[in-house]
Amino acid sequence: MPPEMASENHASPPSSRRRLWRTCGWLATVAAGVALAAAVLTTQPVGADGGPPQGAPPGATRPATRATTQPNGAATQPADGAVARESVGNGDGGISPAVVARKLGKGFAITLLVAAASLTIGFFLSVPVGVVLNRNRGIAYYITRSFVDFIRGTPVLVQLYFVYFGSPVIGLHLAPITSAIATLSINAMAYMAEVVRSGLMSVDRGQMLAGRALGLSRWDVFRRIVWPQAFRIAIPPLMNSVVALIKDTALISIISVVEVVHTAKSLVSITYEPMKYYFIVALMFFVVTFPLMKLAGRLEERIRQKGYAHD
Amino acid sequence: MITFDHVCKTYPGGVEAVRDLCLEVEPGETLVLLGTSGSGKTTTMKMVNRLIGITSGRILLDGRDITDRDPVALRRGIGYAIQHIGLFPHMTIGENIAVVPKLLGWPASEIAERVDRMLAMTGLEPEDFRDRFPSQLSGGQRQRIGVARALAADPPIVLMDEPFGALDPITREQLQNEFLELETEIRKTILFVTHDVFEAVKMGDRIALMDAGELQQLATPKALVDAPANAFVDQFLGQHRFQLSLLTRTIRSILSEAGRGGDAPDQRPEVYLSVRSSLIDGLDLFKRTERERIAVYEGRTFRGTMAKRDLLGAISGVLGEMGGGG
Ligand SMILES: Nc1ncnc2c1ncn2[C@@H]1O[C@H](COP(=O)(O)OP(=O)(O)OP(=O)(O)O)[C@@H](O)[C@H]1O
Ligand SMILES: [Mg+2]
Repeated sequence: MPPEMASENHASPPSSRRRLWRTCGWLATVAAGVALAAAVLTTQPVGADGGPPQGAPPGATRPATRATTQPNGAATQPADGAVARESVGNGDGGISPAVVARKLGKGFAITLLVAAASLTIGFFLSVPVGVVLNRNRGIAYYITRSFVDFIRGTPVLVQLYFVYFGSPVIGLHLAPITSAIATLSINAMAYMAEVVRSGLMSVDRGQMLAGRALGLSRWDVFRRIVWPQAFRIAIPPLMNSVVALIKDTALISIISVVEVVHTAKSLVSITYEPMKYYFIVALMFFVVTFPLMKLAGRLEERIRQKGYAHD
Repeated sequence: MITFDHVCKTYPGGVEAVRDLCLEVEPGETLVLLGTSGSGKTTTMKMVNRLIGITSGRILLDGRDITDRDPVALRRGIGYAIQHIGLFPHMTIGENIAVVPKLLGWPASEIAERVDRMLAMTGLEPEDFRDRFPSQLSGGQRQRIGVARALAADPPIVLMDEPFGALDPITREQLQNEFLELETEIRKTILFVTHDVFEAVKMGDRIALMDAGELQQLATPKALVDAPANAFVDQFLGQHRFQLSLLTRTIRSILSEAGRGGDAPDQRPEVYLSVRSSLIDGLDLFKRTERERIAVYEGRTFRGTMAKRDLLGAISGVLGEMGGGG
């Protein structure tokens, strides 16, 4: 992510390489665990004695028979709603692992797409907003401050409803996914702007003075002196915002974006196996968020070791 | 040449940091701004490269009003070692030094060469220091980098704000000597800020003593010490007067009275005195070598022989003068 980090790798090769290996180890462990759990959960022959969890109706207890043979499964589902029942078989409630994987995979792809889009847009907006927030005076500051506070002080759920159902009132007919990206982008922007602001604030004012004294333009001072330092400090908390936003993406199912939670809900409504599907979904999120959390911790440690104390 | 023409600076809030300053820094000269904390030294410096505005009056660089010039371009022609160093912690030492040459678009090979030269000049091994980060340097080493960075693009004018402040006396003296040597080589117009009167005497061709934003006296170190213009200057020099008198008197100034001439050795011996050494340096050398007579040279040219007895006589003469004057 940060281009500047690359140039520092040589500074402490042995320890950074060791940490890299450790991270890889973690990732491999998690991946293996997830694969195992997924395998156990999805291929479980629901039958004889074991029975399904949580007293599902009899229909669900029957073994999955011919579900794998469904030729035109979930691949072409319309985006508007539930997984069509006819695609999952003859009402016997069993769904083949392949179909489950494909449906949830597709749902999760949407989740990640929305998250990635919102994070990208949010991050780029957060930089100028953070700069304005760091100014601490002027009309632009007060407007921005109020807006950011308002976004951070209200539930994402309500914001989603507001944008999705509210936009037609002003003549904007936003698709669910567009509403979702718009709302989450603004959310990400608000939280990240706060992080950017505190990063900028932590850069010594003498740095700016030194830059200007050497004849850097204001823009160069920001780009070459202030921003690299602020960004470095902001990386760990930014990662936390990223994790938080990825999790918030689960909420967009309520405005009927067919992402992973929505898909899981549909599957559960057919199979009556909430524990299984929601656990799989939880794992899917975790596989993405865990490495990010680890990375945040690692970067934080590394930045602390570097000791970017100001002289 | 830097010309201050009735320069005043009043900060918002009413602090009159500089009052009616008139001053000329000659080309190639090192002018020291000396004064107590808060006397307006840093403010004066910052006005020269337009880091802060002038309330009234003008500052001219080679006859041109600085307000007619683009501040960014102006600053690139002025090296500024700011108080408290201000190295960039996210850049290596090499990158720190290279900031201005890079801005000026020097070719990479030339920049690399320059970085190494600046490091060597300030007494730091390029191989060792080039790729370190500021946090991996000692305070004294960082100060050298601050100076190297200010001089990197070879600016004709250099502003140095307490470049050797906050250092132990030994390191400080070492840096001062390095800088003096360097300075005779590069010969720049230098405005040098310090609150240490010994440093001022050592570094300055002339000294501008300031107090509460006003210029108290502008003179050569010797004139300042010998003839304080007012009570403040006198008080500022305080109990250091005697030591300062010896510091500001050179061997050259007493050579006329004592053994000028004499038989010239063919080769400059290992132990010799420079005509530019102070009486204190002379005394120190006699003490260390336990000699009675030492040859005096100006560069490689023999100028005479100094006898210990004559030096001691000159020193007690200074003491007598002071007793008589005070
Ligand atoms: N930005 C500012 N706003 C208001 N007052 C200031 C500002 N900067 C400096 N001053 C005031 O101006 C006066 C001169 O400050 P200056 O920094 O020039 O002192 P100085 O001679 O460099 O002192 P020192 O030796 O401590 O560095 C001080 O009284 C100081 O409080
Ligand atoms: Mg100062």
